[in-house]
Amino acid sequence: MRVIVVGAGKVGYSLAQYLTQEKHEVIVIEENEERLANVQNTLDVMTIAGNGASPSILLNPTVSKADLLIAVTDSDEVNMIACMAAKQAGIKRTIARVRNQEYTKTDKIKFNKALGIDLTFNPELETAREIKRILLTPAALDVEDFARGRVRLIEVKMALDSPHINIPLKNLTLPTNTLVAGILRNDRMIIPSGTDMLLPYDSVFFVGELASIKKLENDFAVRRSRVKRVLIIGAGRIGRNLAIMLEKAGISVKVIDKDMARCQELAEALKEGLVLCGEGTDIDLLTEEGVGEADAVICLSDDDKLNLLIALLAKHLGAPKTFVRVGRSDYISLMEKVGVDVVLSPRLLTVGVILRHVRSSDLVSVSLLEGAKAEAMEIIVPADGPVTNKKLKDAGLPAHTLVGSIARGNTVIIPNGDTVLQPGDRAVIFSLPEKAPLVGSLFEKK
Amino acid sequence: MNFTLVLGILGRMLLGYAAVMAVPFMLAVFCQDNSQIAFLLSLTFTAVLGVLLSRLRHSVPERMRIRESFLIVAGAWVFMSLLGAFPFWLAGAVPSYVDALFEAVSGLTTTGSSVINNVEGLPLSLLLWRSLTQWLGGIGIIVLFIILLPNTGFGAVQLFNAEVSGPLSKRTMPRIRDTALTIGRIYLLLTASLIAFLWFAGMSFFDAVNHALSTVATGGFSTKNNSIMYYDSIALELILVLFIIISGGNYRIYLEVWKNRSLKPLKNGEFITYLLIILFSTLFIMGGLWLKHSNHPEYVLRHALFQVVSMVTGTGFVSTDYEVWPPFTKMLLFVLMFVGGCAGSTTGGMKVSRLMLLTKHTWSMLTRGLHPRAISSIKMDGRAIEAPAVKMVSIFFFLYIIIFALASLLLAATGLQPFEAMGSVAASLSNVGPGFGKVGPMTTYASITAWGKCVLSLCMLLGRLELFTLLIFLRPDFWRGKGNW
Amino acid sequence: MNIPMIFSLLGRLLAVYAAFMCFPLSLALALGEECKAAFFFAALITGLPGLLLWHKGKDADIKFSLREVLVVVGGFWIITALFGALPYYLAHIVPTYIDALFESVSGITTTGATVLTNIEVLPYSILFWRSLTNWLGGISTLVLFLVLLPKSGLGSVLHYNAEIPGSSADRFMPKHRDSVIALFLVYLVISIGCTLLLWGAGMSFFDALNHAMATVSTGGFSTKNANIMYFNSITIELIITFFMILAGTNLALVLLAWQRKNLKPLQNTELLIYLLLIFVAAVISSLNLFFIKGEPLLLALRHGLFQVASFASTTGFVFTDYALWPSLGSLILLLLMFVGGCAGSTAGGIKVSRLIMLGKTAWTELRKGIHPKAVSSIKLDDKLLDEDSLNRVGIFFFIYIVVFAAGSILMTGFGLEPFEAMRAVAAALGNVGSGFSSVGPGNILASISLLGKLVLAICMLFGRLEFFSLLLLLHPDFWQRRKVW
Repeated sequence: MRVIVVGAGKVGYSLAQYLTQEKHEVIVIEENEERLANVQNTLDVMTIAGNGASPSILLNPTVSKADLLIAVTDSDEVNMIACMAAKQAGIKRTIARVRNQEYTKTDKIKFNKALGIDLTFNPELETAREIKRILLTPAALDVEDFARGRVRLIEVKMALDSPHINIPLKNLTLPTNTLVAGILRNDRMIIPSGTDMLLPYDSVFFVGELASIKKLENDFAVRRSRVKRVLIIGAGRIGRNLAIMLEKAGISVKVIDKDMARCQELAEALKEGLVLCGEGTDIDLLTEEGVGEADAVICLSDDDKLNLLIALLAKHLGAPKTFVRVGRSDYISLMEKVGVDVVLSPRLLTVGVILRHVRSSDLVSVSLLEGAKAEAMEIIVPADGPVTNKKLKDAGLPAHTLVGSIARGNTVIIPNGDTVLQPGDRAVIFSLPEKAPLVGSLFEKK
Repeated sequence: MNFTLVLGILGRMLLGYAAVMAVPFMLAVFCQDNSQIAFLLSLTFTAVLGVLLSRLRHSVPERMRIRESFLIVAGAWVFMSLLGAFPFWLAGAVPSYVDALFEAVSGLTTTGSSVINNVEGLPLSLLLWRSLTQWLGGIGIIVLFIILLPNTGFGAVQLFNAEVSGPLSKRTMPRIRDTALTIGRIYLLLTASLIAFLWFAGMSFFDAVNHALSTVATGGFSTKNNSIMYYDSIALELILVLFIIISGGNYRIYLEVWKNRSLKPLKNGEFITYLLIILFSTLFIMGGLWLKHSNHPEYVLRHALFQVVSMVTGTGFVSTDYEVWPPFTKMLLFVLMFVGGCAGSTTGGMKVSRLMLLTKHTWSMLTRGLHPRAISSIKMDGRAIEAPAVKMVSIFFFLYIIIFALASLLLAATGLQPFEAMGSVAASLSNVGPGFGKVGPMTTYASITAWGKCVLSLCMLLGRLELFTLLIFLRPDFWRGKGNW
Repeated sequence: MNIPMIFSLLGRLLAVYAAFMCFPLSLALALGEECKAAFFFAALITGLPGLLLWHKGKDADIKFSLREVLVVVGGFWIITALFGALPYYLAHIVPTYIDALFESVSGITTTGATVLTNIEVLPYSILFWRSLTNWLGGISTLVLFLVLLPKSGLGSVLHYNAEIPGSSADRFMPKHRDSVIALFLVYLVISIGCTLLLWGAGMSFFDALNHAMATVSTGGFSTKNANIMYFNSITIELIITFFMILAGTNLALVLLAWQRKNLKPLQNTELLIYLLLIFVAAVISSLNLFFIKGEPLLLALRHGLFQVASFASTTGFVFTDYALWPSLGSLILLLLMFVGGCAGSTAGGIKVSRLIMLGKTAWTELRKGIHPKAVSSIKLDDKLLDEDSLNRVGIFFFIYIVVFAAGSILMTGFGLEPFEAMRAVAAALGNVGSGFSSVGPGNILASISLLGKLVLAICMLFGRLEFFSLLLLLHPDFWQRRKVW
């Protein structure tokens, strides 16, 4: 597929990188010479210097024949106009990054439809949502929902004394309608078979029907209490969104940021939460404000290293669960090794969203797990495709792929080899990243 | 909230308090007067309580959290008031415990209003106890604590800040203990020299000691029913005026004078304004008195000066029955009660520096009105004052007036006439002592209802602790709860 | 300074004022009163210079800066005061010009205190002029807009010191002029309504009209010596009470509610607190009258409600000899004079919204004690209050209290007892009126010297203008051209 990426900032760069890895043709448009040069020198893509919204560029036949345009410049408005112009120039699908919620929240004025944008996404908002989801499930390190909320995936770390370890999977008693979809051990993702066992310190991915997964959560819950107090360091976009969301959910929020203007803005938006102007590394401030009494500490500054430092400091002072936002996804496993509980990369979230669009339109969602060591895809079985109406064992799925659950109508089925894939089924499939496109193609319409 | 820590430290303080109680006790034993039992009981009870509480916590931590430090300060004042009432109550000097409490609070907060109609009939030990409570309260319970306990670290700083508010609270010496020690020395020096002066000028030694203790604390308890009027001695009045004025100055300045061995720090904006206020008020009152007493110029000068100095610093000694003075002078004295002395002194009131700050701020606002884009900064003695500090001072002023208004309403409801009620509240809030009318210079607060005495006691504490320290307890998020951490 | 422009505007103002003088003039002519000559000459003396100035400034540049505005605003008040005194003076109903000036200032500032000792014998035209000055004073700012600034969009400049959100400086129509006209219509409608209701309740049409004008402007001039006590009718009291309370609210809210056809604008914090305050104060006062003074319950309620509403809205009508009220009630009335009405109404005082803002700020400041690094935002009805507004409100409060204190001291100098003096000054500053008239309760004016009257008059102006405008005129920077530029 030919994909245009407008904007070669950090997100644009990552996108281009992932897309070209999946063997797509990528054209990057960027105004800034330096950034463009950086892309040109390190990635196998075509580059054009200029404004991605400008007709003169978009009408260039190479460009206008593209299948997808993704606009990720710093400006929402430029992104939106680029998509509009692209649609008119003949590009089939458009995606825009839009951070200003006023453009997306209202249903009275439909920007998207009018401008021809197929998808808008807000990485910071998505990250905040992700954090909130994980927070509200105290035992888990990651939580994803599929099939319109009927199927849930959780990632849990195995403790030394867990009753589930050292038992072959086929003998393991789990609540009905759940199974182990993946095991992350020593930085490698294993799609397990019946003979694999869960070992201590494994990060295990369980998937299944929502109610059953919730039962499972209780087994792992170290603290049964709900999350009541959250400390957020950094009042940037993610911090702001998260603080407002958590406050609405009835959680007591404290936010620390060193920029007074940002503090004041946030103070205006929050009703009950407390905003403090100070350094996140200030031990006195952290102690005085009760970092040890928080249920979770979320480090969301712009600096990855600072986030790590604060998270470790917080842990040292008694915080039970720490979250860190990273810009560079290669830091993720390092951070987790050092002791951070949850590491999030807005960029990876973005890539996940984009990939889903790139691969096929029957792909409902793509989630990149553990720094893209594995993927969880939700795909709708088409009416007429290579695997339709075939038994799972005959479907020709590549090795190291697992269909975790099938949502059919109102029921959720944990499939085995004999389950037949029927049209309209929502399948949640786990696979390693390199096999993912192959899996995707198996589910495409003929 | 670490209650054990709070109570543990309070226990230690109570032990010290019991030790202080031992002094009047020994005097009582020596004089064989009938308050020995009262003191013994109070002393023992305080000591025992102190021991029990201090068991809760074996060491004072290097650092404590803000909430704990506020609780300790408030707790100290409350406990010491409650326990300090015991000698009066047990000795039968007052009709009820509420009266005893009023007397104790009035002592510790250096207010100096009394419910005892016949002070001269009290045993010497009780008189000494009254003056001692004032002397303690003047320097501040926390400061004493810091002096007495060797290894208090940052926690002490927090306690100090919690007790001593004011726009210019900055330490002049790196270690809090040194600052506290030097303040203590100055205090002691002033007291000792005043005792000497008073004694030479004709007071009995016992009276000299008591009056000195209460003067340096700008308290106002006297061993005589009619206060200083009893002596009718110009010499005594002048000595007292001098020492009262000194006591109304900022101890930090005296600290610097001591440290640098020069008089230059006295050239301080606030100090000079303070002296000018005294000067002009005296002149105004002299003017007001002249019409009635123009044939007694010496009466006019000496009493105008004395009363002005006494009221503005919140001391509250009375040299003449100002209740019969013309309304103009009484109004002026009333307003002076609010002004107070310098920050960092033992006086009450709003403090001169705060009023100066607000005035400068007003001027700056007006200037900004004419030049809307101008950025101006407000300076005191060449040092710029930040906006948050200015805001705090405005709010302090606001709260002071509001509390005054509400308390006046409450006192009016107990039956006092409006101006009497306002006078009594102002006298309590600013830790002055005598008011007007029914609680005027020649009478006591005995006739006020119990409820009124409670309100006034609360005002006295609020004023001594400069409002914020006590008001902070009104905030629900002070007390831990689900959302409060 | 753009002098021609100032001439033009002030001239215009004088001319309009003269035009208004023609109303009582025509009444005098119709009734054949003796003072028709007085009004005729007053109108002439006012109108001619007005027209001249207007003409002189006809070709003025419409260049406006803050200075011009301040001169115009200050000039407006000084002019209306000075020239408005002419009818009284020329008709010889007062001994001196100062007395006439006092009456004029009292009228135009909607204070309502009178120097006249026997109102009921005065010619109708004079009585009408008194009430008319009240009425005009109530909408003074609106009059300023309509008359003086037809074209310019300088609303924000004019109201630079209206830092209160929700005051009449807020726009709710695109053109400022339209908002102002709408407000005026509301004022007019309410005035007419009140007149009709009072007339229906038994007052003569003339009395109804005058009292309505004085009520809606929260002024308080009456046509009877005994004020409202003369009528002794529950219906009339209730009608007046209702309209007094209404006049004390922000008319813009009423307008908004009417425009949007729903009651949502009335869910305003300030309004609710204002009403709550009146309710609580009325209940407490009534109970106080019932228990302490022994009045029958119904009478106590009538007295309590009316007097409280009168003082809270700063109207100043008198229904009972409040000087005989027990202590608590008197103090409540005094405090109500400080609180005042809602911002954006014709009432005086500090204004409820300012007190709310200060209260919220104080609450937040307390939080800073627990969380020193906290950043907070203070909102009133979902509108953010920025630092600058809060600062200004704090300083306003400070100035108010300081002026009150100074004024009270001065008035005691003129022979009043302290509480009397305080009541008088508070009534002047708050534009209440009662507290110092020549007749009725608080009739102290008879005994005050001219100087005292002048001081009170200045206080009235200060209060109405909310200090800044006048104070700015006193700031040296205002008059000087800066040395450099």
